[in-house]
Amino acid sequence: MSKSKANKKKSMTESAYGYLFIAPNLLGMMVFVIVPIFTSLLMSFTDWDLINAPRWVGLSNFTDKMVHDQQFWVSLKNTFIFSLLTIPLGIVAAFVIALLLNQSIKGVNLYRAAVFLPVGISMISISVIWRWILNTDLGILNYVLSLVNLQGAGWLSDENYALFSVSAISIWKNVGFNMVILLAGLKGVPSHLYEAATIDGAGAWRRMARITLPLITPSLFFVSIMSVIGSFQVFDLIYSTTSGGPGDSTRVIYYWVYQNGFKFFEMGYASALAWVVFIMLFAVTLLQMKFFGNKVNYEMD
Amino acid sequence: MTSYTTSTRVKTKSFLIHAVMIVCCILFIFPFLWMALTSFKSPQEIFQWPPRMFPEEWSWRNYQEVLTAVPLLRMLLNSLFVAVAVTAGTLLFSSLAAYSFARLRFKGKDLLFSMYLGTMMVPLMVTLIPTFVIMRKLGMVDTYYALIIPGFFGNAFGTFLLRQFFMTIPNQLDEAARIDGCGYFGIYMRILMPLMKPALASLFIFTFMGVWNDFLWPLVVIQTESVKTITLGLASFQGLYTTKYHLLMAAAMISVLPVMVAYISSQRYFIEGITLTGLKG
Amino acid sequence: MRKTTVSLALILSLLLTTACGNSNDSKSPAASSATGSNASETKEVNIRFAFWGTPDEKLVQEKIKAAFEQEHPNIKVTLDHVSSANDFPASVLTQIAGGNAPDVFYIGEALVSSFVKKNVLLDMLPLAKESNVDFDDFFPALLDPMGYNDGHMWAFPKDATPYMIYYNKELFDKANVPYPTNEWTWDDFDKAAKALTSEGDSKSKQYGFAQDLWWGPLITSIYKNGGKLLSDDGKSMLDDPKTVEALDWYKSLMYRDGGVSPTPDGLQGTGMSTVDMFLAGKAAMVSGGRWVSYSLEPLAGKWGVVPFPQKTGSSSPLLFVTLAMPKNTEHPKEAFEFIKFYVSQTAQEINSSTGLGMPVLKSVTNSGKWLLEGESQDHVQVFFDQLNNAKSLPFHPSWSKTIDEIFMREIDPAMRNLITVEDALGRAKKEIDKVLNE
Repeated sequence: MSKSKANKKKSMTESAYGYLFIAPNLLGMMVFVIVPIFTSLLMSFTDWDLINAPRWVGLSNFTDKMVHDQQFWVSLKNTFIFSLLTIPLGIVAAFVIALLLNQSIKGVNLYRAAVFLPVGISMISISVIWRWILNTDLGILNYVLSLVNLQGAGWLSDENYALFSVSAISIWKNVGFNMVILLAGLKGVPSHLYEAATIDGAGAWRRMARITLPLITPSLFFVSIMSVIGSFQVFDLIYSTTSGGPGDSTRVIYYWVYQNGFKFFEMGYASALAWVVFIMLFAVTLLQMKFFGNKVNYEMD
Repeated sequence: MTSYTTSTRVKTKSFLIHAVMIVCCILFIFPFLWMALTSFKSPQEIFQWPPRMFPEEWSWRNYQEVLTAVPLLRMLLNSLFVAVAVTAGTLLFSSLAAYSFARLRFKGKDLLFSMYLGTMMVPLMVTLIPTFVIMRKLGMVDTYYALIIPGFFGNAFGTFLLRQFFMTIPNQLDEAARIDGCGYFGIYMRILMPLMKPALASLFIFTFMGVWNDFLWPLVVIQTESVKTITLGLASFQGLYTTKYHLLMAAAMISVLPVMVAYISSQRYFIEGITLTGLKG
Repeated sequence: MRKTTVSLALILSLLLTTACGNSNDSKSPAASSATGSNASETKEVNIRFAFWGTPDEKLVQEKIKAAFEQEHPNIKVTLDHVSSANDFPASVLTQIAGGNAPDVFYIGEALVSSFVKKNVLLDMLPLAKESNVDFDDFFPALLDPMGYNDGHMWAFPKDATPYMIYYNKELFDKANVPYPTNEWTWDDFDKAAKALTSEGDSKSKQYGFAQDLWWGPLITSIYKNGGKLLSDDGKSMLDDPKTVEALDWYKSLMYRDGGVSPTPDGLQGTGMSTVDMFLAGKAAMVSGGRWVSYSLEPLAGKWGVVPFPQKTGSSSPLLFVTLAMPKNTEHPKEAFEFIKFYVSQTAQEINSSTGLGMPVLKSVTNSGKWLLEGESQDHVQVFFDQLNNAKSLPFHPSWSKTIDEIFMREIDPAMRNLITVEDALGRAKKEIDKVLNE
């Protein structure tokens, strides 16, 4: 009897401590994440210029305004193209580099450090640098191309190239991040598996398909989730390289959200746009989870 | 004879790998090098065709001009201050919450935890405008508080990451400490925190980098030049001198150099920290 | 490691809070002081003035501030300088929304009415009447967009300029082309520009003209063709034949006969601004407001300036920057004192010596005190003729969305020669009318 009482008391203090320890973190989450999520949902049903009182407009931001907003569709299309370019290429490139760096050669650390270098640098700085390299007449890239008798291009000033160019910059910046995650995954594959497979006569491709890929699925999953989130939310890069231009060619969805919210001060419509992207992002992530399915040993208990 | 061919094969293979990786290195390092070289050139040299690799005369003039136009050094300091403050808060509050989630029993824990996981998916754009409105209500728009407070109490990602790490530490340690009369806070502080160093380092790097490079939130919430962070400073400098590449490169140098020095001096630690995040996430 | 981090944070926070204490001081004494005019004579009041500009413009603001504070020892002005104009309007609105508005701030002429619609500006007409501001001394075209003709004064123009053509006399002499006149036409312009354009690829070529692609020159072309932006019943006139003709002409400068001006892509490719090209002798003419004069020191004595060429209209629209104050400022009297000082003869002379714009007062035109180096009274007289003969632009509240955003977005592919001007303008008109109807 006294024992259970002591236990009860103990568990009471335990839960008190439990609440106490998460309190500040939870408070922050509540004020700066949970409340804003629901506020923004509410805001998406209003017409609000941030200064005068909001006006309830029901679903018209979604049904009326968004559907007829050409810029919305264009920016959505651009976001998809950007994602389709950057995600697969970014992961494949990272995987190839990781495979190379997983070999026992000298200088691996140096190579790894070099590829990883852009990851820590802000997108704004990187955009400034690439704008100079890609400049049509004075840029070093077009000069190098002219040395091998290739015609340069207006990489950022030509509508036909601009979206590809910003995609390339994005891959360049993020490939190092994907690479170290995948490299860590590769390092975790026990080498005796390869040895056994080699003895069994399995060729390189077979070993890749049967051993490497299945075993690094968790890393691939993580990398693909991060890439999707990153590419749907691209903003800094566009803001400082092309401002959405030339024409509409690089206007991505978050740039359009920003313009509506903080240029035209249409807070309600901007919130509606943000929510649509959120729902799409959520759906894509669910799909990814399904795709990687039980292949992933996802530590959620 | 077999061994001879294998060793030649191995040599060719490693030669090829080196060749590919050296090309890679050039690809990743050259843009920074080109920035550095351009930042010392005169405006006339920028327009020179064909371009020359090295500046005719190394001059600090661009840097002087940049620093008089926009107070970039002050902005560097702002970034450092904000990043350090947010990171310190995140490490403290996320680790406390993570400890609670991993070790302590209380009602509603699972529900709360799944809520945490859910919020990790929410993009910044969704919360951006309401968070701005909240900061306005608190009268913090355009102050350091606006940059620090939203991240100060830790975030779902940090709590999740640290909780996963707590789970890998055997429970026996806690129990032994409890028998020795150690309280919950004591266990957290004295027993577990020292074991958490790798995970904390990883979170430190992640948070610090995230805050340092953050652009959209400061862009929205800060207007005064003297409170701006370095990314914002560079962007507004770019707005002012769109085509003056010699000045732009000098400004970019000022913004990139501190990060680069920090990275090069601790790159192994840095990369391992990130790796850990990937494995645990 | 954590310990050091935390203590580092503490030290830094101390450093920075003391460092930014100065700017915060501006509010605390102000908040405690009464706003009555009697109190303001005895007590020191602090007002904050937000503006954008290059470091040179900042120097001018400092001069004006010093002169003002000398005359008004009880009012202190805190300068709040932002380098880039791009995000400035959004930034001011955000500050107003955040309850942290500056007491006086710049607004571009085009945005005043959108601020008025948001109901954030103080109507300064009563204050101005009280202190006998001489409105007759202002150029009339500057007052209408400020609401003066409807019985308001939402903002005060602080400097103004029409869009002009600058030409390089040396290059004209070399090509044996007579200097342009004040009444020159599109045909005259075309002939001169063609004669001044050399053969060659975009890198080595000398252009007759370096075009600028934004609404300033485009709308000036429309006005110089006798066109206008809005019909009397408030519809967009972008599909009007006069508008189409004007922009077709502007476009032809880039594409007819191989182009007497670089294309937008070509210009971006050079990495130079149009004024850079003019300075480098790569373009014989360049268009722009008086801010161009300011950059022309290296060409002193070798340049001239004439109005934008005309077809059937001689009036220019004006570009100007204004000073406004928010409705909820705590110190309307002091803020107005500052604005009043800014549009007085003393401050106008200081301000005009930046060379960013012309003075807004007729009485300052001949003082000669504010001319730039290399600038003569003849140069500026051409500007004043245009100022006297200017037409106000219809700056409606949706200007930013309709002109900055829709018009510029739709005309862009036309100016890149991907579609016709007529198609682009037809699309723009449709979209703009939709916005205007909302």
